[in-house]
Amino acid sequence: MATATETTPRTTLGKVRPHQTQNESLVFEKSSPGKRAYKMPPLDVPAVDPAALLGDAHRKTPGLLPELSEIEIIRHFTRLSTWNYAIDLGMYPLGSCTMKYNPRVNELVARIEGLAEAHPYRPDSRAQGILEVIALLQKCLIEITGMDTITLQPAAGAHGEFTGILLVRAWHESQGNPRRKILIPDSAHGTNPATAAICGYAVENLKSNAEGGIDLEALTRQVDEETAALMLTNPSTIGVFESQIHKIADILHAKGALLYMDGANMNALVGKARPGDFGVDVMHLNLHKTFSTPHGGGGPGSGPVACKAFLEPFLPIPVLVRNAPSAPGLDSETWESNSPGQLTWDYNRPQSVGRVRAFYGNTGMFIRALAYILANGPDGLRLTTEDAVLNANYIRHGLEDLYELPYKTASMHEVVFSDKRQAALGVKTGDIAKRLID
Amino acid sequence: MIEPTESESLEELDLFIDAMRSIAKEVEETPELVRSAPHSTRVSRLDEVQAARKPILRWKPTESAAPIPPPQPVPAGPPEDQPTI
Repeated sequence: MATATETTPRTTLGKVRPHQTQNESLVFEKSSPGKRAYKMPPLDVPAVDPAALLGDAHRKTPGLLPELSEIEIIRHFTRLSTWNYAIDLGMYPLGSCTMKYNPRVNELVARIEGLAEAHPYRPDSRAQGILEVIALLQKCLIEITGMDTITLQPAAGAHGEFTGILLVRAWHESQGNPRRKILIPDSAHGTNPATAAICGYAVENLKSNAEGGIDLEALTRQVDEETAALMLTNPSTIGVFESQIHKIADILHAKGALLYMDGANMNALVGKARPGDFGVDVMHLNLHKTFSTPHGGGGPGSGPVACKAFLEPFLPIPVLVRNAPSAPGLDSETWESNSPGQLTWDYNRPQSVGRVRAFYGNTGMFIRALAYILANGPDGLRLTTEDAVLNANYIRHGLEDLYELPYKTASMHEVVFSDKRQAALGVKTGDIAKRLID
Repeated sequence: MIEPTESESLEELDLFIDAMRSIAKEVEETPELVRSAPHSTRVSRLDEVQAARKPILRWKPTESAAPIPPPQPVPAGPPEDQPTI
């Protein structure tokens, strides 16, 4: 087979080189007394005695802080930053956990003064700009997922799972029985069983079939009147799309159980298939995966939960609502809410599972995600999905003659190889990953 | 598990495939080279389990490296209130 290696001439792209010496002492070891990176202005207010003011809370000895000049600090942290490996330095092909580029336009938009400086305690009437951003992002995500409603409150993927399963539990309780167990395929993210357990459910493992998908017979056997939901990642962690998803949803719904989808791998579906259309009742998204907001150390994360209309009464408070056009007009003195068409937070939701996050989640990430969605537009998002799947399959094609493919099913956003051939020579996956660093 | 995402160019994907193919060749010819990687870094195989279970997060001054004296314990508070780094 002709591979990319044999047919494509090497380009001039250089490999990542870490800082030459990689020998940097700690700031504490570099410290010497009296060095400063700042100069305080002369005191222009009356001096007070902190000991008298603070009492027991006044510390008797100064804190142990390093003393350095500004350029020493700049050099120290700049050198350390060159030891990192990050998406801004090179390809970051971490399977199961989309690590895509964070476009700079996101950062530009997030730094617009009115958005970056917005205070969460501003009255709703004076926060209409950021509330419109939130409302538009909600609308876009509802359209992309094909669901009916959404909360942006959860601060991470696992937090979204937790919120979603709380909704499942609250709905079952409203039907008279919270039910006892949650089914989770053996290919699931580790956070899925942890979520089910923390929401008070027993976890029952569901075996995959030879293609890495759900075994429908096993599912039919295991779903009963005590099954609250199935937590499914689609496409799965091994990059396989669950082609029988409609049947899976039907089997669950026939027993009154719900279908939860872990949206970690939505990067393979955006603009192509909508979970709401293939039977999913509730799901979470990861703005820091699919929607290009910073991931990992660059965080914070954001894990919106989208669901069908019947779960809407249980959404975390507050929920963003738009005043009816017939509401009283804007107060010219206070600019307080109740003006027609304005956005405001609704706290009066007796069936809500309660608040899961302070304020309304990680708002800065909403701005970035919306910037990404609007910059791409519907056609751009669809092309993004196609490119992500094409890239994974290009790598599959370029390596499948040398590395074992445990699942022959077509790959979606990622490709999974095993070390079967290399292990026979005493080399494991971890060794190959370490060699990639070189 | 390899997920390149849409962000990568054809050139970058080819570089990655190239690297993976050369590693597969090394596994056949000089497996020890792969087993003992990485070679280009200052430290090679860290004890990742130990680093996760018993992380050393606090720098403690030694005589040679301590230009400022360590703070004395604050008598009023429990040990948790001592300044940590």
